[in-house]
Amino acid sequence: MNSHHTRILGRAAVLSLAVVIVAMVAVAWTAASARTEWPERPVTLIVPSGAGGGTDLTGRMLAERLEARFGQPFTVINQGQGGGVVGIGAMTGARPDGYTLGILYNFAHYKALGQADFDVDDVTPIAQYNFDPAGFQARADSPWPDLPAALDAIKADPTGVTIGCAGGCGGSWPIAVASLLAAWDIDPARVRMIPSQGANASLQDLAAGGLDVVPCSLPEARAFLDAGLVRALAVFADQRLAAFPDVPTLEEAAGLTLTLGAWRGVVGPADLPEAITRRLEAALRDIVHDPDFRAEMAAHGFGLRWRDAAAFEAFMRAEEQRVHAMIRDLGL
Amino acid sequence: MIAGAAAVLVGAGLIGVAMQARPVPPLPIGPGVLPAVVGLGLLGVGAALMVARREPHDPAPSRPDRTGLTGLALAIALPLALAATLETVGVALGLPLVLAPLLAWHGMPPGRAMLLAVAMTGALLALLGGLLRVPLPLGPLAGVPPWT
Amino acid sequence: MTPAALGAALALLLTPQVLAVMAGAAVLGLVVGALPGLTATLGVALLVPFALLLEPLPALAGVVTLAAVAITAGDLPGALLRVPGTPASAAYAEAAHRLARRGRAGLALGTGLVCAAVGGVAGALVLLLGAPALAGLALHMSTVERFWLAVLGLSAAAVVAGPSPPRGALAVLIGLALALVGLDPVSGQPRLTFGLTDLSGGLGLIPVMIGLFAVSRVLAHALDPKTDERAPPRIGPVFAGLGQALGRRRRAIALGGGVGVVIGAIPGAGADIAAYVAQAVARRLTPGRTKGEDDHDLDAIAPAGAANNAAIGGALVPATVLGIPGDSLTAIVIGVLMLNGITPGPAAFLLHGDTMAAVLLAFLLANLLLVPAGLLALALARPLLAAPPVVLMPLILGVCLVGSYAVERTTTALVVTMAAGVLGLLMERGRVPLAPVVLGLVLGPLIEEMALTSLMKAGGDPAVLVERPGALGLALVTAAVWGVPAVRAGIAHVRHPRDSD
Repeated sequence: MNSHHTRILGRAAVLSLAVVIVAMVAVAWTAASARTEWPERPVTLIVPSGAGGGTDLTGRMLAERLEARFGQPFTVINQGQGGGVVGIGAMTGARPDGYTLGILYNFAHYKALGQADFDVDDVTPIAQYNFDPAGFQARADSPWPDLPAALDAIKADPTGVTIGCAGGCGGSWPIAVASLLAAWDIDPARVRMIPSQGANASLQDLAAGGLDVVPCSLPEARAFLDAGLVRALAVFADQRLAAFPDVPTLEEAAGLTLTLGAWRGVVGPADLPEAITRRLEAALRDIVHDPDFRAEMAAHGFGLRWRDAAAFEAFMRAEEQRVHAMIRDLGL
Repeated sequence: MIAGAAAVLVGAGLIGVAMQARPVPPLPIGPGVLPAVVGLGLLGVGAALMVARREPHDPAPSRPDRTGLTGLALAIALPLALAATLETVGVALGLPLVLAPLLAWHGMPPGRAMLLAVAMTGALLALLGGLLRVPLPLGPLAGVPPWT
Repeated sequence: MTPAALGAALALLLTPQVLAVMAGAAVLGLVVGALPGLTATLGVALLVPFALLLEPLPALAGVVTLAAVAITAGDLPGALLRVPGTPASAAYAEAAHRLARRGRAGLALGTGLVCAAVGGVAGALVLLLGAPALAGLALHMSTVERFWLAVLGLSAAAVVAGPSPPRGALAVLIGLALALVGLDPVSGQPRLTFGLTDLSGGLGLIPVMIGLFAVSRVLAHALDPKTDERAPPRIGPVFAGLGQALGRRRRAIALGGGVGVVIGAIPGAGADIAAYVAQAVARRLTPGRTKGEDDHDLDAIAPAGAANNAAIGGALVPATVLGIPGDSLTAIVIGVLMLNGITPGPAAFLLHGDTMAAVLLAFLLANLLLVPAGLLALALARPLLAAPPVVLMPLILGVCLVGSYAVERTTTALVVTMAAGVLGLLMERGRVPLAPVVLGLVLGPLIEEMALTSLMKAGGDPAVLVERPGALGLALVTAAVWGVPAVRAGIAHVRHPRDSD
């Protein structure tokens, strides 16, 4: 070990080196901000879900194509902690300079349930690219031949039926099934809704006999449907899905017209500059209408839905109101 | 003894948290159950540790001196400073500023400490960012490394 | 599988391209596993873009190789630095490091490697031969059975607790208390987050583990630089005594492999839980005849080392047989299969039988590759140990900070890591063991979610916990694990009151 004297000298030298580095940072910073045209450096795309899920997969598909169009890397960052609350919070809290964007999905319940405090005003809507209608799944050996039989059974004994939420109760799937129950004159608050860590966990519990009904998208349930463990009684869409021609629509199965499910879109933090929003919207319009992208989405079973910035914002505001009202009715 | 007292305090705090937690509507129990159980457990274990006699063969931990405490403070404060500035300064510039003073503190000549710190950071960045493609914040250096 | 199918699969597998991809994936797996913060899951996720460029078989062979090697490579920093590279190695990192300080790191790592290979091969064989039966078992796990499984896992704490039961219990409770932070897993209400959005997801297993094991060491060194100079870890001979060490623990290794496969196959329970449970089961069922310090530590390594690798094979069972992912790692494997035009499930074995068989054989081969890959890594690690602690400690700190940021992508994770480091330092000084904290942190959310959702299904009636036959069976096993030793200890206490703590 060196003497006390050299140590003091050493610390002074470290300090001066630190000052030099800080000065370099400052110079580099001003140089960076002096440039004009967006994007001049890599853009971060926050995906508020873990690696490997649908939001991650579609986010990476978009990032790859945005990168090709803008000539700068679009780096996907997974922040799935807290059911997505952390990632969405990081995105809404970022500087609105166009270098932090995010994928957003059904988010309105987070605020209604007191889990987070962001709403539509905290984001700049850019475009919606995906919509997956909810399906109504029961165990393969369940006594219900069709949807009306299932709904009548629930009506007769609401507390005797357990419904998995395929995630937190309040998310896209339980809201869809609660809307269905309300339309069939069943009080959704009396039915036992059971939360889980996601569609896969709820479906496993359904197959194991722990639940009676699990609402989630048909592609999510595909493995269980193919393995003959569960049956889809209906899909909440206005026409049958090409990949699942045997699953009737809600109207065919029960005479109800409800189009409900999960959506995904691209957003930025609030107050994103208009010019950047327009360029991103135009690029996404091209991407979503590109046959190659449509084929890749279809191959994974994701539904396509294009909404431009204005339509997307109107859609999210309507959705926010509906979800808040529904969560009040559910008594959550 | 100290561990026991700390456990009792934390246990009491958790029971406090448990009493404030709002249960899920259909059930009388909810988010408060586990904190209450853990809190009670901590109270019990804490009490057991406080009454336990010190075993004669237990080595007493060495008493830290002032140099040691300063070194400890440095090793805690510098990473926290990095955490506070990481998003703007980036890893490439921020990490050497944490490592170099620590190396120098333990007696390395400052020039070598700085060089080694920069080399360590560079190697880490090349491994994580370059080889494994883990996105790391680079601050003003964003876009500079060859792999981005 | 018929000999003809086996031959066809082998012919697909043993091509230069597939073997080259597997070798590359093994190297990547070593790096990912050995760096704290980078897990097998992250490594596989990083491989996905490359997997798109390859044929299905090399891509999948690479993925399974990387996963197997990464879990084992986590042992390396565990033994040499007492910093487990992945949570699956946390159960025995302290035991391996104690051996290393007695100059026997080679023996510790050799044991770990061979046990991992044996466990991995067991997992691969189950996958090849008995997958459908095990998949059926995994599918019968409702929330109730998983609740008992988590309680059983927590019972393993009694074994990893170390010499002082109250201190071991304190460590488990610290882990459970840390697990409380975040949105609660049932109703999603924020708990102990202090209004910070970044804490909504909880404290994060990896940052806490890195802080407890690694940062605490850096801080202890800063506090008293002389501690590390007293007994620096030495590698020593790898093979001397290895045969004897393994031969004596045949049953423990076999038990570890079996426990690992079954726990891995259950969705939601992974390699980390498997390692702890295997340790506990082996300790209960194979009473040690030898009483040396080295033997005691090897007893901790052998079953857990076999279990965490066997668990990967187990986790692949529902994924390949039914297309149902048990954890995030297998979810990515399924994603890679689908990207390559194979939808996992019963049909996959009919439509792409040769490819699927070749993938499973690749997994078997990967587990045999472990031993040479591990020995290579050990040779490369030697210069690291020659570095003086003054240089090594800041390097560890740098790796820890970058690693915990890489896994959580928030600066809050760095603060959590440092706070866990201070906690680890205090626990070390209070002689509280660290490994049970990881167990509590992993099992806390599982126990809470499974207990509360089971009760919600029954409207609050606790009878639901023992109504299903599987649940009742697991409950009885749990009761036996706790009851038998407690009764025995009670009798011993009455006879010799001074022997117990």
